[in-house]
Amino acid sequence: MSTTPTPEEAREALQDVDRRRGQTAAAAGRSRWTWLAAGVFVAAYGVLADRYPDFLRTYGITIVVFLLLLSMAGNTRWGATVLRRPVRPLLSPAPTALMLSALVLALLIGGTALATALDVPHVWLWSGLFIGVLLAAAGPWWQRRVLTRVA
Amino acid sequence: MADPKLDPALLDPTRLAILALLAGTEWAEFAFVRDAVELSDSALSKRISMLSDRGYVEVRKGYVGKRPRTWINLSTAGRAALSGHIAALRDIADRVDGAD
Repeated sequence: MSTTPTPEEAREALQDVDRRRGQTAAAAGRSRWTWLAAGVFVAAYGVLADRYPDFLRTYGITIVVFLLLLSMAGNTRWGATVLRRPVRPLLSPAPTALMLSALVLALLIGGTALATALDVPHVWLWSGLFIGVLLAAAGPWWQRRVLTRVA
Repeated sequence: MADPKLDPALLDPTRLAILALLAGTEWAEFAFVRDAVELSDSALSKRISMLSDRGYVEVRKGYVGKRPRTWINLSTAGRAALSGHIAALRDIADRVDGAD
């Protein structure tokens, strides 16, 4: 490329920049299998909470703390390397996206709390199944949307 | 506002590709960038050194287990240079689109 690119060269350079951003987004994401496993885990957690509440009373906090630590470790350079994530995406969500996420979270938590207060049977079972299916089905889509926007 | 300026350092397609790869990241592993731009370790090291000398990227070295690792991130200056360069490229492309 000469000192000042020709229009054609400028266009090619811009296309390459877009391609590189796509490469980064692809590397930064978690695989579909990871989302599926997360969905299955949450659904199983809901089933356990419904069927074996004593088990979760004993081990629930331990499981949640372990997952939290795993998630935090995955965001460090060391943890990301161990988990085979070569890139940490730069996330700076737009205020509207943050509001939407907060709203969805509030609806899920509020809905579960309300159903519990109203003595709806098997609240944990249905909540776990619903959130699990949501994670497995919509997780990859949501991730792609976020990562292609930030990349 | 001043017109966006082309950055001479980013007229090299490989250097531009490296910054574009890093733009959406907090950091990326050296190996990821190397594989993405299809360069050897030494060729990428030279380019990273050049970009680092200009203050566009920051390099951090460490170990995971016993294996040495290198991570690269785009600095604030690098992000500004990339944004300006991309804006200038768009200007060139748009101007000609209008002239066609």
